[in-house]
Amino acid sequence: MRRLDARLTRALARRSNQLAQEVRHRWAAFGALWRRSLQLRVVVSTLALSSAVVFVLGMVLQTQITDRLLSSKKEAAISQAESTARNVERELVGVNPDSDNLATRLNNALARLLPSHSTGSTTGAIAGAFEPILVDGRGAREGQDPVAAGGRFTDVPPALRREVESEHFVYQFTTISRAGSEIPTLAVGLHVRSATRSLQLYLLFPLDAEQRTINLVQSTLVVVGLLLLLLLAGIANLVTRQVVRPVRQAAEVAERFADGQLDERMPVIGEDDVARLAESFNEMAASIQRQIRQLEEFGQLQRQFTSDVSHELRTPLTTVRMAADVLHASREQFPEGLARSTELLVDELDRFESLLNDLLEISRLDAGVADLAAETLDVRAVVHRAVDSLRPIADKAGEHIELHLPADEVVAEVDSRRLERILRNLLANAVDHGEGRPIELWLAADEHAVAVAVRDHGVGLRPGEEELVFTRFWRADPSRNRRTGGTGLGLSISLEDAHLHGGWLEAWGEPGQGACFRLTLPRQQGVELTGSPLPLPPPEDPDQTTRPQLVGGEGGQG
Amino acid sequence: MNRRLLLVVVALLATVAGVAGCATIPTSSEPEAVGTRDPGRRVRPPLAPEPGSDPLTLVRRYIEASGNPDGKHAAGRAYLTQNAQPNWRDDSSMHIIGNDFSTFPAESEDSRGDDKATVLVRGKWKGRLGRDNAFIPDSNDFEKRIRLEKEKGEWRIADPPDGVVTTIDRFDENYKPVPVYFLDRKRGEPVPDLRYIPSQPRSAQPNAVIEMLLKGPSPALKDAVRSAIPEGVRLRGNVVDAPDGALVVNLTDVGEQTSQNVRLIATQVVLSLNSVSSLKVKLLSENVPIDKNKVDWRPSDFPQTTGDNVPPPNVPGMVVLGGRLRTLEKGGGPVKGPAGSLDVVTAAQSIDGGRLAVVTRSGSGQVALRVGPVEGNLTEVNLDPASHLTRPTWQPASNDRGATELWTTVDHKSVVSVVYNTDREWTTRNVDATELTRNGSITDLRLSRDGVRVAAVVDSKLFVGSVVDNGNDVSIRNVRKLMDGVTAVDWQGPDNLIVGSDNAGQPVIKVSVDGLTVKPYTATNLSPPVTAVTAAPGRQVVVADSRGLWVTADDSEYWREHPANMMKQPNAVPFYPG
Repeated sequence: MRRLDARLTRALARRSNQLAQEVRHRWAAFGALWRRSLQLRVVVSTLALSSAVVFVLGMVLQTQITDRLLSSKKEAAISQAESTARNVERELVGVNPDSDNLATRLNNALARLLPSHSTGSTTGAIAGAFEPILVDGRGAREGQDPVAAGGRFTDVPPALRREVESEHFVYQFTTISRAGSEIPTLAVGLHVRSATRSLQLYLLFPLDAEQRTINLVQSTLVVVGLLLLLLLAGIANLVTRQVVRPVRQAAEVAERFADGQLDERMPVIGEDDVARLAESFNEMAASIQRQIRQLEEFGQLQRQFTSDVSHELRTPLTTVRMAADVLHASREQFPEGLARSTELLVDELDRFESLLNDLLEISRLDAGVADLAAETLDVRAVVHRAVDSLRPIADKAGEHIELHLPADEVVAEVDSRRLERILRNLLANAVDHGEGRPIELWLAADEHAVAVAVRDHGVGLRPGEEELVFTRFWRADPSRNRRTGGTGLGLSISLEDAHLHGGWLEAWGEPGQGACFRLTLPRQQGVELTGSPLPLPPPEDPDQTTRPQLVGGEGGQG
Repeated sequence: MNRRLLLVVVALLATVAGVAGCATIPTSSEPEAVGTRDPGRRVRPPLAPEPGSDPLTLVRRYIEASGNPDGKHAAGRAYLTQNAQPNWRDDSSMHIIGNDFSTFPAESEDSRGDDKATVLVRGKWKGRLGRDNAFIPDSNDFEKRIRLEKEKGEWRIADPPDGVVTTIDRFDENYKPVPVYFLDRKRGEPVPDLRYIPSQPRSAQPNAVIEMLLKGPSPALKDAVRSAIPEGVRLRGNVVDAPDGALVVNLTDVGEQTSQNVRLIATQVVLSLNSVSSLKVKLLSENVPIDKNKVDWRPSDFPQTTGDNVPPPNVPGMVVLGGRLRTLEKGGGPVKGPAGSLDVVTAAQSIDGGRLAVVTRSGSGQVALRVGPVEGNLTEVNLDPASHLTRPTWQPASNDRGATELWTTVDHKSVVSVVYNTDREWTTRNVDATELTRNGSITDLRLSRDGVRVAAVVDSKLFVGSVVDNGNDVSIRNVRKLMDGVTAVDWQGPDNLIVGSDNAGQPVIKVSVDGLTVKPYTATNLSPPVTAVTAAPGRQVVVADSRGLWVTADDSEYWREHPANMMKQPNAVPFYPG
């Protein structure tokens, strides 16, 4: 039993939790809608305020009607009571309350009274039906019911009875039950003279007709109020829409404009505030469009210029290069100083040529004419090629490159030339900044992506430099020499190449901790990247974290 | 912005909540005064008992005060303890005792102690007033123990006897006799039935009278009279003064009535109301006039229909003097015709004066009854041999054949009715008078001149009863004893009697038929005992004593010698017709 209870409690708690969550959720959704929709806010506010106003008005109206109904009923009842009392007194002149059959006499007095009432004095018609009770209240022995005629004496409230028996003319609201239903009643009581002492006459005016009237008024007011509210809400909605729709249109236009559709303009209708807003917006848009065009043309011009210069330089360079090669081939015939100059000339021509190649590549990439020659291959081979090409330089710098490659082949659809260039650039960069410490390279893949991370333990990057490293011709420390003879364009080209693959190239670094570059490429071209198989930065202990992420088991040492 | 809106809404709702409270029909409230009205009729509170009264005085004053019925005997109730006041059954009946009652301290078990006492009230019964407001005479001794207790230092009565006990004087003071009229069964003549109603408030009296009328005759006249108003008819509305100065009597449906019966109903109502109201009477049944042709009735619409009940003025009456029948006139000559020469013991003349019945002596001490026209031949009625017959008494004439019935008592024990049948023969039939004869021997028997009641002297006691004639059998019923020591009796009117008494101090007494009113005539000039009396409506009372005939007009006047009294002999028998 207890267990059942506990289970029940738990179930209940769970259910209430769910409910609370649901409510919170809904509330949050509503909050969002409330914040976002001006129309909703205006309509709800209008509805709230107007319902309050309608409520107050309805209440005031209803109170007024009730008061008027009751006060007119009261007046009519009182005048009815007075005239009835006069009639009854005429009947009671000859009645001695001490005689035996007082009840009959009282009944007779009332019997004479009723026909004259029903045949209709005007006051009777106004006051409506009533129930007369004629009582010898003070003749009763203690603890006994007094002699009464007419309606039920028990319907007369005791407080009223006390007042009337001390000869006051009073009225009181009370409730009597008839046929199982409670009927609010106006009871009027006054004393009437008989042959000797005073008797008491009570008139009970049932207020059920008034109650029906008031109920009708109430329901009418409710219906009318609700209709009014609905109408108001509808009107508020319509009016708000007139204002909100142009604003929304403007917002949409602005959004599309921001998305680059610079020809978007707001329609200008009429001369109102919205039209003025549209005009201003359109002017602003035209101005911005103009400036953006100029900037684009300018950039285009620059790129064209760079490309043209590179091409133009290439032809003389080829001539100079051929001349230099001739000189270099016959340098042994020259004196030593001249031979050394020839060697320098050739070296610098190499650098110049590679710089020119990079510039050309960059301008090709900028112009968007670069093609991706994607083919499916094992990435590990590309990695090995890149590492092998860099190894002499690394050895020269005394740096060791550690490879962490998966045992199984990592197949991906990539452009091997560009991938190799990226890796070469990353490794050259690591060798440049490695400060003689080992360089690590990881390769990992998962279902959708393949990632390569290159880590050095050099000076690292200062905060904020992670983005700057991809800037053209940027160098962290301008005084440093480029050991690998980098042109300052390598990382920029790598970034462009990664983008060409639909992949990412990201940098991480901390001062003194070294830097890490991670390249993530989709295994299939055209597939959107959602994550990378390698973390950035890679953990210190590769065995612990890379293992589960590597496709095909343990990482190997390169 | 939002917060201000919220504040406004909250404020509005608060106002509304305040307003909404009074927007419905109230289901209860405190009483509220409307205004002033004429003050009600102030009832003077009864005088509190005099402080410091001893138990005997207190009981005496209580009995005196109880006579006042106002406010349910509030005056008498003031003498009771707080506990006893609500328990006093003052509405059961009213006991009336003589004025000279005595109060004694009585010893009893529970009267020991300083705050308890018992008082013994001893006196003479006069009778009691029943719930039908009719008086029932009684002449026994009255004795009652009344227990008192001390309450707040004052003696108060702790166990009041059931009903009201008061004295005759207080009763007379506070109650008023009212005749309610019914009809005699034979001729439909109105017969008064005396009732007593509180003399105050006067405005309530018409109601009371009509209600008594509707309830039917009192026990004294039960079966002897009838009412033209059908059984079950009640008041449709209370008897009230109409704005045009008439008393409205609105009955429930009386059904189809002949115009004669309607007139009888009106007679009963109007005559009954005559003693409590001088207004004309508007007689309605179910709100419409009971007679289509006549709405308002006055007593003058009913001329005294007493022609048959009252001796005509030109018939002076007769007297039997020394065995001879003489006229009761100055000189007192013998009656003309054969009757004047008969040896007469006693005689009676019919109310209309047309017929004569005489009791004559025959041989061997027997008596015979002869009946016939006053101045014509008298035929002897075939009776069983009898040694004594009471003076005959005539029933009123019920048709144009004149008086056809007379009653007498044979040998003091059987009452006989002698009827002149359609064969012009006088036949006899027995009257069931066992209610009378079981009290003794009848020495005088007089029928009232309306023929409804009978008064008899039985063993010197006066009894009255009513004649119940259902067509076949005649009987005397509802017999009551009125007084002791009576020698002779005659009816003065329909509801009172003149009685000859053997009491030397009050030789002649006028007594109402219910025995309540007893008025002694002065004894001046009389030499008791009175042996015979005669009286009739509107006539002087004539009595016979040992010195002859005496006459008086009023109970306060002294007795004068009757002009017919020439012989001054004892044992004269004077009689007016009847």
